[in-house]
Amino acid sequence: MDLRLSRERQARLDLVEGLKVYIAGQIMPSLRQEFENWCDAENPNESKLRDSKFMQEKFGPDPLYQTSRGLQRLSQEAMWREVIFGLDERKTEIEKQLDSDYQDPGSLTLNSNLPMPDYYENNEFHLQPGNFHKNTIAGPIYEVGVATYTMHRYGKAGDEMGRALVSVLPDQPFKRVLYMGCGPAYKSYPIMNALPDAEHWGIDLAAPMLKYARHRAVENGKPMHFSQMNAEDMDFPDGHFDLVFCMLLLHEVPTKAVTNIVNEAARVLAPGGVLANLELPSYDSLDPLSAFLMDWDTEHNGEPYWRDYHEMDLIQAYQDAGLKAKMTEAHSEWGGAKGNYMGKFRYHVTIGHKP
Amino acid sequence: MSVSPEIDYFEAVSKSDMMRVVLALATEIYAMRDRQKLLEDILAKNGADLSRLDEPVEAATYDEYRLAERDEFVARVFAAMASPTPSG
Repeated sequence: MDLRLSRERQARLDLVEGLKVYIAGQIMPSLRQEFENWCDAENPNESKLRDSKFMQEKFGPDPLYQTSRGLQRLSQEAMWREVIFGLDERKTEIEKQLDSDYQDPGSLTLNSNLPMPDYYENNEFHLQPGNFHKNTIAGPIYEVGVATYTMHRYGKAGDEMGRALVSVLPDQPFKRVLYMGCGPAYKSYPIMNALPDAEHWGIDLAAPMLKYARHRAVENGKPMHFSQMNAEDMDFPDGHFDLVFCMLLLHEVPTKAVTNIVNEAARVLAPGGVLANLELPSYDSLDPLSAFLMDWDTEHNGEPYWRDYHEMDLIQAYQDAGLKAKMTEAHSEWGGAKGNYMGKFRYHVTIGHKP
Repeated sequence: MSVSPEIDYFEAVSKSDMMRVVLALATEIYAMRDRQKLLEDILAKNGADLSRLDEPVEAATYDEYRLAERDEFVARVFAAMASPTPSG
């Protein structure tokens, strides 16, 4: 599906992306310099710098901090507005394509009776209007929006995270693979490429995402099976998969749901199987300013469970589910990008083996 | 009508809302500017193929010229935000 916008509407979106680039490349370095100057002058101890209340009191009134946060929020709102404005021009045509009846390998199973969890129903993740399930073209909106949100640093294919995950997966023969919270699923293509003989499945709560995922998979020759399910309570039998993975899913759900998902993943794993969860780095692995700025997303970027996720003990959750767990790191091309206010970082991947 | 600098007519107005207006305005101007440039290009070549205005395009990220134009425009419009002064 051609997701390019008409020239005028792309120009509107380009402007918004340009503002995000400006925030990251001009405003954030100034804020960091101000922070470092203050640290040099005051020499505050590490525990103070890790105290978000203290940091908020210190930087909350700061004009540069307010500017960075205010523009970040407004650019995110404007981004979705312009993406939707751009794609709505072709909405009927896109909907028709998404309703295609494919004969290609793979499948799509929707469940219109699947209840949406309370934490999902009315949240707008990353401020995407209508969330992932209330707009028929939420999938294309997500893909164009995320590319802009990340200033195109995931690459044209948008699959940088999948490449990172592949690089740390254990070298063992995975025959059946499940991607939980797959969304449009393109991030998993590197995993499909690395495991061409495996049977690949993707589940998600949102029917519009799955319809787009199926369309995109067919277009890209990816024989993936998609099913509308809740990862907390899947329809698959015990021991069905050799590899279960997710990327940036667990920070979007409450800690109780994280526990449920880990338990459910452990249930559907066969003995010897692997659960892999790729996430952004934990606060304590980042410098204090980056951690403080990331934490801001909890209240201001549609990430209500972001802080709770970073404060929970995921390794313990894995162990409680009967998995032997360890945390490893994966290279992030995005994390090394110039102007990224988090500086260089590596993805955190929690790997669990089912005995 | 004289200007009364001591009166802030917008004192109680959300600065975030004002910034929403600024951003919306910048978006409109940028889109018009971009369109204008393209029209000028077309006219300069004495062609009248205006269908180009509606053609789908890649993001400016993938077009060196448009990317440079965009970043220069954003830097000029938002220059005041790089070192903002306290209100009041």
